[in-house]
Amino acid sequence: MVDVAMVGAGQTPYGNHPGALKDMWAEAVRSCFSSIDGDLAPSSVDEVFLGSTAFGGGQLGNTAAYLAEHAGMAGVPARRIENACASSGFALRDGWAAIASGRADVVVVGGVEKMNDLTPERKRFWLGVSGDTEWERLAGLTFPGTYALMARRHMHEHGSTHDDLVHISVKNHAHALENPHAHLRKDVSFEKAAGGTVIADPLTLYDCCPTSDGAACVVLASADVARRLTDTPVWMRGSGAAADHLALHDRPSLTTLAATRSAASQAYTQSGLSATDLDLAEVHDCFTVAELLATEDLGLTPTGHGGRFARDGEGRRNEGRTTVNGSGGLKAKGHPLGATGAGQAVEVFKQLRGEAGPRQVRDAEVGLTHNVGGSGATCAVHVFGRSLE
Amino acid sequence: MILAAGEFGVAVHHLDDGVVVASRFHVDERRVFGPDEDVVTMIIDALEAWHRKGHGTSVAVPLNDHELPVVQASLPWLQIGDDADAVLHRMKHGAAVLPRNHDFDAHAVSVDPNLRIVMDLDDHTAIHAAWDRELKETNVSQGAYVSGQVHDLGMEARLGMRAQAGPMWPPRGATSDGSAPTQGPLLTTTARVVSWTKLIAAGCPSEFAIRAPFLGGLTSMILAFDQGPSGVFLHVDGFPSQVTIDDTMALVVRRVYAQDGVLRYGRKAVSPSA
Repeated sequence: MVDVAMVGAGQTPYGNHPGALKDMWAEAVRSCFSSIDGDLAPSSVDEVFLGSTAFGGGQLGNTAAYLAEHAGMAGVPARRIENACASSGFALRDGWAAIASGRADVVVVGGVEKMNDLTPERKRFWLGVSGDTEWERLAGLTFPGTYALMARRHMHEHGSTHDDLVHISVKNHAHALENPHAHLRKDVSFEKAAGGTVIADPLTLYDCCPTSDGAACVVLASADVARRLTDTPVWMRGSGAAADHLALHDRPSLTTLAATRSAASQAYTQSGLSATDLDLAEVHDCFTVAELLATEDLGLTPTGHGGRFARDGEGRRNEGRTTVNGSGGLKAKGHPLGATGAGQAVEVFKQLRGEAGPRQVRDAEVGLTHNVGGSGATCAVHVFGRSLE
Repeated sequence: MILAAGEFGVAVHHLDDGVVVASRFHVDERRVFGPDEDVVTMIIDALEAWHRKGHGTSVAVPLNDHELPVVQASLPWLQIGDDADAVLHRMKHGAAVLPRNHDFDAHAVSVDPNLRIVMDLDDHTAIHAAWDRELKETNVSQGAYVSGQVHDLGMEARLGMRAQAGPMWPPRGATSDGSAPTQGPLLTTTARVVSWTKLIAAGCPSEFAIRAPFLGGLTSMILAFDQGPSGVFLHVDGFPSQVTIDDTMALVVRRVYAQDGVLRYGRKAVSPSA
């Protein structure tokens, strides 16, 4: 298998972006290619893997060809990968596989989503289409509802509390203060987060990520090409992916995401690394309870201890055991669905190259991305390192 | 006749050879339908209450074309026969299943005042006006579209609780060995709460956007059946909806939403003693 590295990474700011879909994607591509140390033009890449749920409909068919054309890659084989919020996590895996298998030498992987140019009604529709429409949704559930069911069950089984979730919210908002690309750059106190308006009991407004526009892009290259382009490639050490029942009620447990556990196991095994080796993890915290579950499912803390991990500040940047969502995570950096997985890789690229500025994780050698689709029906996990050893 | 017991979300009076049910909802002294009740749900409630007491399976049930498929899908055991010994009687905001020769005076039925759920007139009017709006064919839901065909294909499982062998529920297209699923048992109409949440009105799926504000949001829960499968269900509208994990809930047929001018029914959860 060919070794694969990230050689460039860039993104737009997340939030209410003034540009259209193609503008955001082009901005992310320009940012990404400008980060490459050597000379590489978009038109010279072998393939494009683009994650997007095509939120709002818009250019629903042939999205990737449309966007590639608008970013200097007309004629390059391109495809859209859709796995709800895990779309670009899976695009990353497909891009990695294309190079690892020897089929390609250089590929563009990215994601894009425009979510804030719709009426509230249409926005609600698109926010719900990735769940189980026939059974869950018609029983009143939206994603805040499904994650609220997980939270209440975790509290019941393991004694976690809403205060534990508040700690996650406060941490991620604090982390985002140092991220110029973050959607919500505001200091949120414990008292404010604890007193948030209930959205889906027990989850409040401060447990939920915002609805963000954004695009993110990375360039992957085979080892030979990567070494020609840069002295500081970020190596993709392991890739894992898994799926689970679409509907929450079909799963044996509400307090663990089996897809996360499976994908993480694959990525750890392939990389020869484990959770204890991680300096940072960008995990999928669409809701605070999702981060709590991720810390358990990724092995950062034992099953049932996610509440304590949060309470004890174990995920705080440069304070805890492993920096969790040093970018602010989906909670505060933002969550432009199809761009989120690629955006996590952009953060790891910057951290492992020591280019994260004031949010730099000290001595960062190994990082992980964890990207979940819906309430856990799909998941992609990747492990990255500054070195191949 | 005073209906003094609450059972599966309706007021009930059991006789030796039949049953009378009525809505518990009242506006002042007037009995009304609850927020998700109607004639069809009352007919099904009466037939289920009658069946639970072991009276049989054969009933003379006069139904129109709109009611028939919903009742048949909800009650897989029901044998509709014009000359059956038991007869379904319609009454205002209620129904009864009684022997053919029973001298039944529907006008003499009332619900014990202690059992009544009193609704504000304005709230009652608003909810039923919302249903009228939702039912108009011009109302195009922004929800995740479940077509009429897909919905109808799921009715036997959704209303009748018919599982596939395994048991597996809701239904699948193939089993893990690639073969076609075979018919399984009927799931029980009681199940245990695994988890629950209450969504604020603004957080509800857009299919419910018209009514949710008048209902103060929606309560939804995962229920586990003793036979193995689990499912997610709304709480019946209008009843106190605070539930606790491990509570036992009953599943009754109620209106869920309307799409393309057609009412869609489903099973909703309520305390068996409600």
